[in-house]
Amino acid sequence: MQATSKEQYVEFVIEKEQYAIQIQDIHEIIKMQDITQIPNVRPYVKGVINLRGKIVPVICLRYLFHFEQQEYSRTTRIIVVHHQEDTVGIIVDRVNKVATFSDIQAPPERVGGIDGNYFVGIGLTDNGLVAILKLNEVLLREEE
Amino acid sequence: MLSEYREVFIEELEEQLQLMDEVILQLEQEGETDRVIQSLFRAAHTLKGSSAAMGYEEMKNLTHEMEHLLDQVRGKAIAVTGPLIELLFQSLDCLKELKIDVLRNDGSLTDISSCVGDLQSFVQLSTEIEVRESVDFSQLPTLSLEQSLKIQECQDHGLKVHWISLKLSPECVIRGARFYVIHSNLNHWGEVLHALPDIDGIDDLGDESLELQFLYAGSQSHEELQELVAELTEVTAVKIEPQLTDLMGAIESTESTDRKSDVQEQIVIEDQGSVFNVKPQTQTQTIRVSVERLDHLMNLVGELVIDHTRIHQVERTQRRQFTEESVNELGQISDHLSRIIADLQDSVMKTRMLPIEQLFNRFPRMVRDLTRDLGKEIELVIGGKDTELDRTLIEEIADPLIHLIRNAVDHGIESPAQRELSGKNRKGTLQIRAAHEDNQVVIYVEDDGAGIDPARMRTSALQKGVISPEEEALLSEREAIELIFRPGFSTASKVSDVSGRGVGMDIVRSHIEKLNGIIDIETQLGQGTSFKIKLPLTLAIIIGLLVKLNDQTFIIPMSNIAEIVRITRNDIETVRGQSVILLRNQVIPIVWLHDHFNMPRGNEEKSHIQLVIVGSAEKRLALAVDGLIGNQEIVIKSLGSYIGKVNGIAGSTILGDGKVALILEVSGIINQR
Repeated sequence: MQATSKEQYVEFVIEKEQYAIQIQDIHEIIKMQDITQIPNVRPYVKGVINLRGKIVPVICLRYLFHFEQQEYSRTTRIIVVHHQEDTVGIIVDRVNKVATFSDIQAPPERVGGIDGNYFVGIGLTDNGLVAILKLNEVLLREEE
Repeated sequence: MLSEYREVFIEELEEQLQLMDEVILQLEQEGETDRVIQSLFRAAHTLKGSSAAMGYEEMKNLTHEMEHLLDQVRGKAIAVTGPLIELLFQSLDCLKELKIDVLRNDGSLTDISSCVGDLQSFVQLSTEIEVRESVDFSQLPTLSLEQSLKIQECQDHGLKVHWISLKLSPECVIRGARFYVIHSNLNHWGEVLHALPDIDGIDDLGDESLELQFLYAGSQSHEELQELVAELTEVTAVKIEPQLTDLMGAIESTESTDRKSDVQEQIVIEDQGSVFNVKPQTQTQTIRVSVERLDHLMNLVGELVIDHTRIHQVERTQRRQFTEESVNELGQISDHLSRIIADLQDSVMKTRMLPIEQLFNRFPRMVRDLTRDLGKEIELVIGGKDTELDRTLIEEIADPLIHLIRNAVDHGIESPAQRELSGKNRKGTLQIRAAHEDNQVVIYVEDDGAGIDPARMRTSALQKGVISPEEEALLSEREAIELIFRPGFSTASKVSDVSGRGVGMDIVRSHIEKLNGIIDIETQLGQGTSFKIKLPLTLAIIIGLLVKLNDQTFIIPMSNIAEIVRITRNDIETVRGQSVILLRNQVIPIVWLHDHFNMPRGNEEKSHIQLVIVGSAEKRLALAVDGLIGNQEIVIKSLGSYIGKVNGIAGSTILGDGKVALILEVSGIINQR
């Protein structure tokens, strides 16, 4: 099967669903860290971490996607992405692999109960469908 | 290519300009002394040399003319007069314009020709008056527009325009003919643009008119012309004056550029959000550090290197054999390291320190110009010039201070007449002082003016809708005065050019708070007003008190802490539903930080409560915390733009264990209430 897109993505899991972020947006992937909570901020902002002396905010996709909060586990990771001038961490349940997609389709209005605006498209792989995150939309979400 | 030299040059330039500013002011206030003229001359000379070396032609030419003029002054050929000082200031402003050109470095140049012309003509004019003072000539006629245009045209062609006034000797028999001869002579050398009396009317030349005036344009310099005219016969007295590019007009035009820069400032100030952050991009970012300080730094770094090798050594020993002894040695090295690092930190901080003189030196000129514009009489007293503080702070505090000074001159100090009426010295006093207090810098701006009237503040605030009548009724005198810091409040009954632009004190305060500082106001009706600004020594590193809220660590900046007390639950009283504590007869409201941050209140059952009394300006607040950890120096790190501004949080820092702790913004917590 010939891949129509050679672009690489990092595939990760939240609540058994597969998602992906374009690899060039990703700075690094780290294990769970101590998070310092910040009061009175947008609820999906979990707090800040110390990334080698740099203060990096982390956000929780579970909250944005309306999943229940869950204890962090051994597989929990923070995907650190570049966003405009900032570096932001995104907490995910598990990181799978680097993937390429044979086809990317426009996102439907809702993706498994989640607002379709969060996604650039749906990627097709041998293991099923992967929702590709639209970082701008995810990170700049105003409080609902 | 010349960038290194350029930076050095710019530094020197700034220094010399500052020096000139001071010296000219001194000249104005204390009159002429050899020392003052000498230092001014030297400054001009230095600049001439360095600008020539750097290839800044305009600056060289201008400083050359200044030097020439000052040389005449030095040699007593020209007396120090009001116009001379005005001209010197004018030239200085022109030099400052050129400095901006140099900073911008894009090749664009300010036109200095009029300034150079003024300097040249001033020298000629003055020396002329000196020499020929005895001969009385009638006033030069005013020129019509057409003639002015003609002059302009000639000057554009590189011709020099002079007024030549002649007195014919009384023995001259045929005056009309003599006049005609002179006229044609002049026309032969150059061109007569205007003649008095008119050439057509020479036949009617009466006996009494011995005086002739010509407006002459030619390529000859002043001296050459003088020689030529001297050859004319039957002429007893000659006076040659350059037709100025119009000294008065030039002064007016510089004034209008002054106003222009004022307008620019206004724009900056009115742009609320980013008010004082708007800095020209061209600002130099160099700093002069004494060699002594650098040597000290180098020594410390040397010691660090030694410690590094020692650690390495211990590591190798321990790898072979883990002994008590080697652990002890490691302990020693660690102790030594911490001492060096503390020293190093201190020294590096000191290299960033500058005396506040740099900033204060700008004020005399500013106050002079302001008082002149506003028709007031003010004596400026500056103290504590050598107080050192962080370079960034000096830059950041400049605009708020300038605003305070403008306010004091404009609204604070009354007009001389009014002062006399209220039995005060005609001359008001404005004091600006800086000093170190504890680990802080305190700057005072004090005037002995009218003071702030709380009653007027109340009515004005009501009128402007800043407060509601109910609020007004509850205000104490103090709080009424502090209304001045409310947004949208300006007491100026009429908007003047200087202050009272509707934005002001609130911006000043918010800016000072942003620097972790405090501004305080002390005023007495009829006696004057005093502003006190407290600032941390440096922005990047502060001392903070680490406190616990539940299991999270927060940091309260030490500069905000008034005291720490431990109370029992029974000490808490309730006033109008608000928990308060009575401390030495002062009622202080208590705030549970937990509530402020929407966290569960921990340890409700504990009998003792730890309170940290914090203050911002005059307001006090008791913050209830779960425990105290201790104080330590912390490096402030911003939370970044993604999180943005969080109310009550000033920033964050990384603790020894690698965890992130949040720094409280006390002013934010107080103001939110």
